[in-house]
Amino acid sequence: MEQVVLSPRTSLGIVVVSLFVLLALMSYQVTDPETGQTVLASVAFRLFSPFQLVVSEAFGGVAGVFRNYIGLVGANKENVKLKRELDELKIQLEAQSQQNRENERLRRILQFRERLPYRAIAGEIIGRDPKPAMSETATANRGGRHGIKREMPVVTPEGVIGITILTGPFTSKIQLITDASSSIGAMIQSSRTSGILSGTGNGRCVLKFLPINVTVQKGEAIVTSGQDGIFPEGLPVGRVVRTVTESEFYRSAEVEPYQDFSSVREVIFLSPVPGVVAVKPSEPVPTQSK
Amino acid sequence: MKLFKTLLTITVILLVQTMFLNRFQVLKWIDLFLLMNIYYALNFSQVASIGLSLCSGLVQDSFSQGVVGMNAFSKTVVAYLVSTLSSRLMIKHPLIIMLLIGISTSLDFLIIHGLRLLFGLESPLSYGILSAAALVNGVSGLVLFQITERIRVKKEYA
Repeated sequence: MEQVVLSPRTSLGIVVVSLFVLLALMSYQVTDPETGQTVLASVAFRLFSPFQLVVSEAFGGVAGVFRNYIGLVGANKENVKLKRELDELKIQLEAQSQQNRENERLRRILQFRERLPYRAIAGEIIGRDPKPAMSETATANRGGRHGIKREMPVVTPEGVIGITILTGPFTSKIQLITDASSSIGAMIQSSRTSGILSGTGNGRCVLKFLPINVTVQKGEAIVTSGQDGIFPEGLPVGRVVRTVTESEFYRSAEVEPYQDFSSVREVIFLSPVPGVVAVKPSEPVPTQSK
Repeated sequence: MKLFKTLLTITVILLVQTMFLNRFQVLKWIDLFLLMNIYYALNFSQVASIGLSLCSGLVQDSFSQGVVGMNAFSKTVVAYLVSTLSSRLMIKHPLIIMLLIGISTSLDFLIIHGLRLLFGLESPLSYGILSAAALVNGVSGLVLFQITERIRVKKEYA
């Protein structure tokens, strides 16, 4: 086989350039949750802002020291005043959040009455993630042409599978609920205590943020809570394997899904279609195919 | 012809990896893309192996969950290091090859783990996953390399 041979320095150069391009590509896709900007923009800003800071500090240093000295005179009085204001604001904030919770509760009751019905679209898993140790996804043979959209619930008659995260014309990518970056709303069926169900990346899930005073038994059924706005309420997810006390306020429950995702073939996409089939809590998932 | 063969290999690997291997509990740890990159890095020129790792990594990324570029990044680094090592040392002994594959697998996972943390994504990596992947890839890689090498030698002398 003919081989292109380059000097070690040239090879290293190619690798470094490739890695920089890949880093830029990755940074472009990820949004920094703190700033709402792409990571590329954030990193560039964080890289260059210290220079700006140094220049600014150098010029403003002397003036700053002088201003601080003058400012200290009135600082104590201001401190007392600010503390009082802070206390008042805390009380206001508490009242506000109380009101928000009340609004949320009323809104949920209203939504419950006008619950969206779902149309079932049957599909088949045609491929799995090429790097299953780090992420858990599956590819299905239904896409945009079949009415599949992003963030559609994917289920089987046994329980929840995941959500669609990407759609092509004829295929779609499903993020399984066991994927490490998956989070859905779920609750303990018996007590209706809800939490956030996150994937662990090793075939199981964890139901987080359960109040510490709630008793969770091994084997208890976990169902969707409907609070994520994607899954309807009451779909089976799995059963509790063990519980872990996370802090003095919360505990979490390790959940084993009802089905082994590696053997799932047929799946059902739930598409909201007003006025066809109403899904009520604890009712079985509509399984009629298109 | 060479390009066609390489594209065909990537396609076959993608199909086997996504449609067959991931159905089995133990076989799902095998990363055929990584094994292909290590094999190329050991047997072909550095430029070819870096190019291949970059392309195959991007293919793997596009079928995987997460940020496109992570697998390409890790595989490019692994391919570069393995090819640099193989240009300086004679790596022929099966146990050394197995060890090299194991270390490369760990490095691949650790780079992806680091990138995921860097970009604020959850990473499921644990010592269990790392050791299982290194062991399974090491053994399966050794077997696959032996088979491929025999076919290659047979073809050369035919």
